Amino acid sequence: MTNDAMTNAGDAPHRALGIGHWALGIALFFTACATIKQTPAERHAAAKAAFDTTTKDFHLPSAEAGGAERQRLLKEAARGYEQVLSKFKDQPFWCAQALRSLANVRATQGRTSDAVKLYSDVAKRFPDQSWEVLQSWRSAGDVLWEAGNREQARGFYRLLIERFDTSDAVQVVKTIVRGAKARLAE
Amino acid sequence: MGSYMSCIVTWVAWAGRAIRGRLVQPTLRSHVTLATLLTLATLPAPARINVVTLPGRDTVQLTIYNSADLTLVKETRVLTFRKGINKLEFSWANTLIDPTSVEFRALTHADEVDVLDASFPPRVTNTLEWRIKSEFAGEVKVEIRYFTSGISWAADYVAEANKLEKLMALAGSVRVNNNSGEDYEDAQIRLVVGVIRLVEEIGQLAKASGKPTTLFLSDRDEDRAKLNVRFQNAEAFYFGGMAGGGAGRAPARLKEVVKEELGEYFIYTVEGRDTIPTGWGKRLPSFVAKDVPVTSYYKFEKERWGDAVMRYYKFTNAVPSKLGKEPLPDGSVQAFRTVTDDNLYAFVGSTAVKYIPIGESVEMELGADREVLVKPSLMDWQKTDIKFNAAGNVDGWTTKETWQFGLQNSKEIDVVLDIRRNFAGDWTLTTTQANEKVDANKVKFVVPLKPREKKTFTYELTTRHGTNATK
Repeated sequence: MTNDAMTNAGDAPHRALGIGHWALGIALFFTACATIKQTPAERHAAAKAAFDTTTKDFHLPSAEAGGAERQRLLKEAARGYEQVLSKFKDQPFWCAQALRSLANVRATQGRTSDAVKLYSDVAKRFPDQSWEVLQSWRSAGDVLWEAGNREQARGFYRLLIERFDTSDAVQVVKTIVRGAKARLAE
Repeated sequence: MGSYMSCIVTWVAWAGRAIRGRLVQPTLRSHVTLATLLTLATLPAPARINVVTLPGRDTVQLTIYNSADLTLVKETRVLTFRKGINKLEFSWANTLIDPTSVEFRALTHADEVDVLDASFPPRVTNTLEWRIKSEFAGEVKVEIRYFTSGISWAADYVAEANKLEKLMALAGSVRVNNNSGEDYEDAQIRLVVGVIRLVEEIGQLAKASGKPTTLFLSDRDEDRAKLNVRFQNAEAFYFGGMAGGGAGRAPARLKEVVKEELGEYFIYTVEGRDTIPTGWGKRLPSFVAKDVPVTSYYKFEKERWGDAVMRYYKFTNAVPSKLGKEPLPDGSVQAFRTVTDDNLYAFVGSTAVKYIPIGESVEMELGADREVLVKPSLMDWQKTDIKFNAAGNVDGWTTKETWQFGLQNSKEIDVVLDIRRNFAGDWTLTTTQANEKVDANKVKFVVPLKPREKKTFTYELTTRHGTNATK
């Protein structure tokens, strides 16, 4: 009845009300944007805080917990990393770490396929985050290797070697590459 | 696994809450732990069943590069290896450690210990696991090196002038602040002083990477490689053979900071060991030099400080001045003066000094001093030699100003006043007071005053304007 009454009252007021709502919405949107606008350093710090909190409060404790508590912590950790990925798309440095960490959670939960896909996504979505790419490819290979899927694992080891087997690589990278080569030779 | 029982050595660098349960020492908020865990080779996956040993860090050495927000950490530990495959975990979670810089090497039995591989166990995050093959069963001393951000240091000085302000004792200290996320216990601390090309380049690369905190977590492979290679080279050149060379504990006396001259910069090594937990700062005494000659004087320049008279101490970083053994890093200075015969001190002022190379003099501006007064008064003003052009307008004139300066020293000691006056245009100064032309528009009057003395001097300033000006 109310709607009918308003409609019957004429289109002009209705349109005016609609335009008013839109204007208010737009104003609120821009006000909110202005309020939450952060400097690049603040965005970096906020992303770091979100990542660190997830790691410290959920992911790390999950390694020591058991049973249902372990599953709860892993679930919370996954949720935290997903939030970093959704809220801080402008922070590839932290998003790449969150994506790899999410893959670690899935691997720990026994969801190997999901984990491998997420590991693989790190290089696709954040190709410039070399350290994260290196870790992800190595982890993907290891997870597949341990699951008995050696041929697919070798694919990740080959990718790793192609990109990171350089003469000026730092010691830790050389060690990882050496390990990947050893796996290929098995 | 080839042997019936293999050994997993877990080494965890950890910040924040203790998640390793019994492995974590309860007195420390965050720290590095090391544990040897056993696993049965017959199990399908490594299972931790027992903690065998928990060796602490044997030595820790921090070399702090302030200008690049970078600290080289070198740790040595004695690990008990089993013959066969050993595993070692390193975690950098919630710290500012750069994982790409982590290096492991055996200091003893090096030819029998081989790092086969490194991987990233998914059960925990930001953890590296080394697989190490050992041909030797027993204790092996290992070194682990890495870079971290978040550790900084700053120098500060206390100058204590004698009653006549002719000599002073200069004491230097360094304050180390640790916000790296990691505690460092009993660490030997080395501070890099001076600007070196290596660090400048690294600083530029750090800026280029756009990371506000972590230097080495660069997105770019070439940056990372350059940084690491340069520091490896620097480490080999500058720090070779320094591991384990720390001085013994000496808590009861002033620690000596050992300085090494290395080309264009210095490394200060703080004597002994100190524990610096994350989130904490620690002040470490560095040096004390007594009977350093100091020149005390006062400056007045209306355009810079208004009516205030500023106090200065000047000294030289040179051997004749009981200094000059090393450059002095930039830092803050608190200055005091003995005011009574029983060594009661009065605060004189504080300031900041820039890096002082050997042989250079430094002026320390210590703020306004109300016991020394300078009062300039314009006593007379005349306009003369007025010239008119053909249209009858003024196009040339000369002004003459007579200034009197009232000077007062309310102190019990001699003081020297340095009064600067700035003039513009075509000017001439006439006075009986000794003066020195500093530049085209500035004149300096240096006037000594005895204790409680009042003095005046005058000058006449003639300034030619318009067509009267000849320069």
